[in-house]
Amino acid sequence: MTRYLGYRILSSLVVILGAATIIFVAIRAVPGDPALVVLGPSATPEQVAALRTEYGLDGSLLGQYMHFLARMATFDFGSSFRLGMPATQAISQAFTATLSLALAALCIALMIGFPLGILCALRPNGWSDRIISSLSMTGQALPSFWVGIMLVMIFSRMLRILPSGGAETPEAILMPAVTLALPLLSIIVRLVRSGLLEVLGEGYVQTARAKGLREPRVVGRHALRNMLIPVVTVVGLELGGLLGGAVIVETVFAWPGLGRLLIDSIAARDYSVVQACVVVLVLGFVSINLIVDLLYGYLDPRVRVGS
Amino acid sequence: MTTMRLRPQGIGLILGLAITVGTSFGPVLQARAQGAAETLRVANPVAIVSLDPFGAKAADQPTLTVAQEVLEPLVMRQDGSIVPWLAESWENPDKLTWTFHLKSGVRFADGSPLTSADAKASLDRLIAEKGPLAGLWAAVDTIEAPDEKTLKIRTTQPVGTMLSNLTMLGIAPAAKIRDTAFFNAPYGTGPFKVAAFTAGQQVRLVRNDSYWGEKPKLAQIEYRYIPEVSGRITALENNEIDFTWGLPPDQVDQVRGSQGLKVESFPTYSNYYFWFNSSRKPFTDARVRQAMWHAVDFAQIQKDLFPGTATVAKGPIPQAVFGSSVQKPYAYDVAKAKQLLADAGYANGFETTMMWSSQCCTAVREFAETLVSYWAKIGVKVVPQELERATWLDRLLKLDWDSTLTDGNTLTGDADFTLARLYLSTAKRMGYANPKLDELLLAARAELDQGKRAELYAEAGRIIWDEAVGIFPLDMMVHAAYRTNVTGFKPTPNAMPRFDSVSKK
Repeated sequence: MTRYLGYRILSSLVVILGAATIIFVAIRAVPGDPALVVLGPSATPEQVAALRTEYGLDGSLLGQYMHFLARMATFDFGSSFRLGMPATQAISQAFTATLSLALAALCIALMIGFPLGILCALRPNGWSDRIISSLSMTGQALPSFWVGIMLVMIFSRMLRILPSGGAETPEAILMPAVTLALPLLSIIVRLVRSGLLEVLGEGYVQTARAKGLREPRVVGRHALRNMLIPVVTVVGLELGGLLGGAVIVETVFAWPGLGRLLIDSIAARDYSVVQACVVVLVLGFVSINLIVDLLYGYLDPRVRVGS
Repeated sequence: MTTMRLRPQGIGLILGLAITVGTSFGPVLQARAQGAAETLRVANPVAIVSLDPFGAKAADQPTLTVAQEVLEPLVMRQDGSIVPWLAESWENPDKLTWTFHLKSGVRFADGSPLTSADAKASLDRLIAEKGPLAGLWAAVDTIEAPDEKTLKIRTTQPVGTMLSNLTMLGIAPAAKIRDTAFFNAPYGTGPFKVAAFTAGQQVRLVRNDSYWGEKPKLAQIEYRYIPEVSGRITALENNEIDFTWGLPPDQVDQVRGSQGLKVESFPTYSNYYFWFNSSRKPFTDARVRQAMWHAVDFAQIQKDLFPGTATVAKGPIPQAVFGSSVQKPYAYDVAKAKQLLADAGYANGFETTMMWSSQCCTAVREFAETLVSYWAKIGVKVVPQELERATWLDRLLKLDWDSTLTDGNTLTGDADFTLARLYLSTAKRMGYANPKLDELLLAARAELDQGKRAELYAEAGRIIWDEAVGIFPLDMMVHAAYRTNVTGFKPTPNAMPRFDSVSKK
């Protein structure tokens, strides 16, 4: 187990290093000069040169890269050209906002998706199954910018009970979280439904019924936990996606998260923040994957490695 | 068997975690926060990323919009003329010396008195930071504070723009000016001081109760960044914000029709302009440039694309700017345009490119596409290139382009800022060089008599216009939208709304 863990952590580090290298090269390959963006069109060449020196952009690319790696090892990404604060500080504010949004969306998706999925599986092709299944197909198909704007129209403009954007009040998280949750919720409904249907046909479920257990106990104790693996996999991957993919929802609802910070920073060629954002996102994605893989072993002893 | 018993708890763990996280982050329905009567909630169209107006953001409108409420200048521009502010009077003992006498009894928000050492330290820092406004002060030789109330600036050559430059210099306390942490919550002698600031998101100002002038009626101003125009309009209609500005033309009518909202449109220091790269063929020939201007009906474009939101330009800089002038209009005349092209040896037209920045200005793409179709009618094929701002800037300053459509802002309200910064041949901005123009612009900069300066700029403007160094189609208006319970707003042409005279019912 320890050897497996060591191997996984090592390979995760390689992934992070690779991503850091790619983003380091990619953001510099895009035309545009960070010093120029900060100074604007009224800049003189001398001013631009002076600012480039200040930003440490006048050295060789290899030197900058080594410097970047050395600092990254201590989780220091340098200072933001645009915001004038350490990149990690800018990221930590935005990351908290994105993480709360992603977790809120995940909770909504799990709390609604699980019961609905179970309801479908209990009476396959019954009327409730048909309604829920077709609704979940729709939910998965609707683009999030459209859902977001519709929610704003209904709850902010017509009913006037929710703020249209920002993160100032606690209830402001509701609409962005629901918008983000919708596609995930639909996936969970369908996964739980098909997983449970499959498991309910297994021999041990029949045994459980034959023992005289009542249906809620059969489903809750015996069937449900045996179909968790695919759900955990998908939820884990989706959570990683939620962290990086919330850009559109964050823009529609003016949510001050990582996606918006990343877009603004790319437009300003704010190298340090772009690099820090990508590394943090990759780190999040890799960690979630690792946790998911370790959860397998916990949920199903057959998957345990190396023990 | 032990693991078997643990597993249901695994499910419980996940669901339990979900419920805990769900309740702590979110769906707590509260009464919707209503704006208190003494707090003005403002949504700025561009993110405020810094409150330090001395460094790299010295020319950044969002930064200056907030800074002007906090740090005050020695002199201010009101209704087009310069009025005393922190300096009550000034004189020129000779053409190279400016002596300013500071007002007595002015204190910073922390109680310390304003002295000439603060003014000196502020100007020293602006110059030392080499930011985008440092160039205004290139001719400064020495800055002295011989006594607490006197500031003496000596220059290496006469500087006619001294007063308009000073309108851009807010005075900060000398003791704090090199402390970068100070600029997270700066204070000055102004009517407001900063209470909280989150870069790129939010700024909260509170009233400076010891303000020396007329005290503002608002107790607080909250600036919030809402990137989407539709989001800002919804927030305004919903009473989540009280004031916003920078609305695109196509949204103005919608807001105008909304109940409880008011829209005010006012002239600005900004205009659209189209530059030719005069160092590249065929734009080296003035006749080709003039032909392109005659080929477009800008009055029609104004009616179609910018109704009530821009006016047809009368000169190369907007009419609200000091030193602006009215030039002879270019008639829309396709026959004349074709004749001019033929005279220049391009009877069959030519092919060229036009670049612009997608983030430049409202309706820029529609504007550019309309121009392309007009020019096609005189046989000039213009390939449009819409670029991201950083890329556009890069190419602009490297002179790596044929022509470009963009907007300009005469930030200081003085013709020198635009004309001398861009059109001196040493600036190398658009490949046009004319010794006569250089001479006029430098003479105007060195002239202390403002009446004579205005005449020199009118002459310089005529050369730029008649030689068609660029096409100057439209002067922009700015649109502020606010709830009708907001009163006392006075628009200023620098498009940076001030709120010290505003009150809220």
